[in-house]
Amino acid sequence: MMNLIANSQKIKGECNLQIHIRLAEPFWRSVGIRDLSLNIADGSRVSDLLALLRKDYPALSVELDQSPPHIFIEDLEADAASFLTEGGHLHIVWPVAGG
Amino acid sequence: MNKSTIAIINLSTSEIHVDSVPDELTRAYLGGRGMNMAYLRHYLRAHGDPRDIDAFDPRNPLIIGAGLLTGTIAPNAARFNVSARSPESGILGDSNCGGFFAAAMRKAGFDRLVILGRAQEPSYLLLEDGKISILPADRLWGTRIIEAQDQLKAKHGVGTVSAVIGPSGENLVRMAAIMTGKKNAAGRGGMGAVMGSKNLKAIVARGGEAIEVSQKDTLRTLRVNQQDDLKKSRIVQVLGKVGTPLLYEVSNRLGAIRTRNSQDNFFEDTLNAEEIEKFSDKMMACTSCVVHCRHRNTLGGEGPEYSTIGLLGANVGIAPTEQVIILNNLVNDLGLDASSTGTIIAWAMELYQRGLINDSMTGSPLRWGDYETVHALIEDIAYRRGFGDTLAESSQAMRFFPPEARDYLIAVKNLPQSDPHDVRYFKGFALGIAVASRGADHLRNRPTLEVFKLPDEARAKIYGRANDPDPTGYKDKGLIIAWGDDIFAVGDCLGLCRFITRGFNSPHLLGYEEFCELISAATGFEYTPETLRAVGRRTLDTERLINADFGLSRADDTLPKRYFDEPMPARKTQGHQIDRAQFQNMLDEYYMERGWDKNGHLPADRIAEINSVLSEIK
Ligand code: SF4
Repeated sequence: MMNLIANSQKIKGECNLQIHIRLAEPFWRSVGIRDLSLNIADGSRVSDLLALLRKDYPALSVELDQSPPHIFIEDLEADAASFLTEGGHLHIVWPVAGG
Repeated sequence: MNKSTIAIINLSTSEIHVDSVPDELTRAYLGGRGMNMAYLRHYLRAHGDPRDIDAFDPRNPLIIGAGLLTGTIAPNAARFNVSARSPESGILGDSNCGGFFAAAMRKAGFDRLVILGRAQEPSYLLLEDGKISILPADRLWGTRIIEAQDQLKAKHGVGTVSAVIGPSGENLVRMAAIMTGKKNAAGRGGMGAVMGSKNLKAIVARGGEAIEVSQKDTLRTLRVNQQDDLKKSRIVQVLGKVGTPLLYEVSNRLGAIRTRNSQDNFFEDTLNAEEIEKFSDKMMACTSCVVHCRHRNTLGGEGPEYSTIGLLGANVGIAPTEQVIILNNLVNDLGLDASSTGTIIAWAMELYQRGLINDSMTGSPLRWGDYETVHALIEDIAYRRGFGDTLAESSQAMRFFPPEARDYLIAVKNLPQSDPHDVRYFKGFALGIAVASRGADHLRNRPTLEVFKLPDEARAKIYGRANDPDPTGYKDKGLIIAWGDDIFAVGDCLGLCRFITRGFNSPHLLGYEEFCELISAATGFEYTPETLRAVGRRTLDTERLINADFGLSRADDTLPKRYFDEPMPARKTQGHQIDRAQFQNMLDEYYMERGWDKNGHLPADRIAEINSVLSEIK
């Protein structure tokens, strides 16, 4: 698990929310790790977190554009406007299905 | 291109008749699945009422047919279909398989085999340079899948490729597969048991020449261009690295993994692709594949695929990665269909959990996650020992259980569901397995594009008219399933893999236009996207007629009781189930799209049209 201290305080107050992020296939490949933790300001939404990830990982940004993901917080689907909460687990998953 | 060659082999009399398939029939059905269906209908009706031909009756034809493009350099042109009356479902049996066998069969001179009768002694067929020999299999009988193929290779030399049955097929286990290589399985519907009932252990192909095509250079150019395009596709790139285990985490996160016989809908992360990858040392491919989706595992086998991970993992409650891979290798080496095996064992576990069966029948406790018991039970199924003998009957084991047991069987038309996806959430997935011609199966029509949130215009362009984008709603699902039915059927007629077929996890890949170009270059036959789709429709209609002969109609296009009556318990899918009235509306729409009547029957003029085409078969 990589711990990233993001520069989100430039966006919102203090970085006092720690979010655990799971990058499923194929997103993790452009980051090099599947699980990471990131600190972000209180009151941040999923869109803020994605903006940080895109900034830190340009290759991931391209991947997210190419393969728009499904995002889950814990067991529920989230969208860009969903708020993040302390210790939350965010899953970025590719929407595929088959057999 | 040479005419398509068919060999009719009667194992009772040792008579072999080699013939050409009339061009009209080839134009109507191409090859592979469609052509198999034409011959299946013909042979099942040759003696009167098809219902009189039990699956193990020597008159049940075992039809092995390569796709029209199989063995050429067209992308992913590896596949063949095996068809017969199914001993598992009792209706149309049809299974599709990759690997290298079908290309070798064509090179040896045969596009299709119709195997009738029953050999007096265990036998195998040798196809070599346009000749067929029936040879004794006395030393082969009793061998497992890998050993059987090794023996045949040692005997017939390098370049030998065989399709074989294991102990399961020999022992008429109703979910026995025909295997080629370590993992490629014609698994669905018990085709291995039909082969076993004919005392036929193996079909060996060797020798011969490259498959003749009409315009070699054009086909080569198409291959290069299509390969380049396919390799740009993200799904193709990812499948080539991760294989189908990719799908487990996606379904699991959603809450759509069949778990403990669909009592639960999510399971452990130990079966995620990254865990499977730790046991993989190489990605493998079939003939002419540009994807390379198959893992070679470090435990002596190939795979596992997503279906096996789900059904021999989550569905029976087994979480350790290594154990699931060992079970995968075991079912493959015994020649069992992993999907049916995992579904039937989970069914028995739930019956035990509910007290509907007990130790007096099972011999020992059946508990979720008990790896040792599942391992032993799989062996016992293959050799028909103890309670394994009961489960070897697959869904037909119902006759040994109390009537309520049927409520917990995850099967449609008596075929256990093929894939690990719990279909209560995506309603199109549910309709798809309900109407699939061979029973509960995702590879007939799975509308994977439903999960992509494609723009409305894109959806309208793909499916031919505007349609509701909500994958959890019931509207317009008949339209998209009929669309998937047809294009996947055409892919099966051509012998192409689903992973390069438009609609399977991508709106791009190869569609009718590209198929038309490939057919023209390979055979000189000209099609338009419309006339090609008509081949898919004809295949579906012929399958419907075969099943109608077995008495099937609307009432059989249904789902397991649990999918209607029990909401999904957790995660995003929580609360979803299939509404019975809405399901009937989906069926109405589907039949309308297919041109069938309210009971799911073909109109008389369409039946006459198909019979007229089939009259070409002498
Ligand atoms: S994608 Fe997989 S199943 Fe399809 S042809 Fe290639 S290796 Fe075989």
